[in-house]
Amino acid sequence: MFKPTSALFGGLLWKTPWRLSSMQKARQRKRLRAVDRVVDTVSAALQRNGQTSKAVQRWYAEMPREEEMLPKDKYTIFDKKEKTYRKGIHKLPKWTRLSQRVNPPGF
Amino acid sequence: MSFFRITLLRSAIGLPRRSTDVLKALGLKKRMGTVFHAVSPSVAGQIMKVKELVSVEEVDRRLTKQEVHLERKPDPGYYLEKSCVAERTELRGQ
Amino acid sequence: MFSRSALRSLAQDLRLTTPSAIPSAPLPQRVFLHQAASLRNAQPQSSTQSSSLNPDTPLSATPQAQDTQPEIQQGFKAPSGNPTTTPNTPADTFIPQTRNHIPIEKQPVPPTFDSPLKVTQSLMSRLPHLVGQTPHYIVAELHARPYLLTEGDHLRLPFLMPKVKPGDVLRFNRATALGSRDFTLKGTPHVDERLFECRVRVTGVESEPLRIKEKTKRRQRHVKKALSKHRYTVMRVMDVKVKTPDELLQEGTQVVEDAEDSPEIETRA
Repeated sequence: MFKPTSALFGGLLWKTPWRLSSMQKARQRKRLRAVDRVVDTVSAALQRNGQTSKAVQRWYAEMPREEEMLPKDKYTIFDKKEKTYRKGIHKLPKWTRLSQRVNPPGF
Repeated sequence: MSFFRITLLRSAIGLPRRSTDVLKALGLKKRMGTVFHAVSPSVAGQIMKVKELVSVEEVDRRLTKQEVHLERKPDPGYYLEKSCVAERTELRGQ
Repeated sequence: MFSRSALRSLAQDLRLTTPSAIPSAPLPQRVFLHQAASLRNAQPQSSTQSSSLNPDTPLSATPQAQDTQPEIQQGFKAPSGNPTTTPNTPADTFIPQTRNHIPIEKQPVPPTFDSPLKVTQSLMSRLPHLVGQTPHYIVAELHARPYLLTEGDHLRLPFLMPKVKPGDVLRFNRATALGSRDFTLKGTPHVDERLFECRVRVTGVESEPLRIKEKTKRRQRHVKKALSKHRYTVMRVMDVKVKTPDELLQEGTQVVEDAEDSPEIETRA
């Protein structure tokens, strides 16, 4: 019996779920913490040698840490085309290897 | 004088050209490759460029390639107690 | 129709009738032995927490910045046929450079011990139960792969062991568990090698049938044949023996108080 589904109707159909699963979210938190740890190690090493780095200072000035971030910012990203101005962060290309932590204020 | 021990955990395939070039400048060629660099602001800046791809530790000295390898080498778990030649000479002596 | 409880009671009867040295009093569940800390070559990696730039220290990034001191490599000789070299020659910090520089503890040579084995009192008191119940099994690790062995087993290693000939007697000295039918001595993660003896005799070399893999490329008639015929060492387990407390005391074992983080003898419930 034919059951009309979009997969059977059309040819190629790739579907991306609109939100992250709980495991994906857990891995995302893990990645965020890993980046925090790298930056902490670098800054501590520089501090011990009495040096500073602009990139590290800027990171600390601008970027929130994993535990300071709101869940909204961890798992979603601003998008002006969406009705709610938000879409899942997994829609961002190469999202597992990017640091996307801040969004426009007010959104 | 301390050193950064940098290990490439994730590849830069598909990332901007700059990330690949930074990895090349650091001497990281493949995943799980490890390099040592002296702690300096320039190296710190390079690490910050690829901070999502690497893991960093601070160490006291540069380890050699063999030392890095030996960290992962397990114990053999056996040793030769008596070789057949020794046993034969023992038996012959009796 | 045997129900599960009936089977269990039967098994308990059997257990009581076994000629092991189980006293009538119920055994405590676990017994501790204080040794494994000395066996593990503790890596002197001290991770000191340093003050980070962020004053409000976050909990998630717990290893804030490790100050890992590189391991001080004990001086060792390059591999030679001299197994009597002690691993720690004084004040000789040799840094391994090439692939031939392998420390003595990673080579298959007989170990030398600096300090006597330390065994907790509770393990000493529980050890006779394990010793009394034969046969014993051992989970021996060869190159970090476990092999469950008992006496009389034929063992075919998945590799060709170098520098051994048929007739050689080997000692396995890394065990994660030692046990009999009802008791198990678990290592944390290894049992000290002075607590047991496990000997195997190399019986020969086996080989697999020749395998031929045909390699072809597109648009070419030529067929490359890749041959493969691996050889494996075969050995037979001569004995698996747990030392008795008397033997241990004769060898100069020290009995110490119980402590955490030590191997334990577990009774099968």
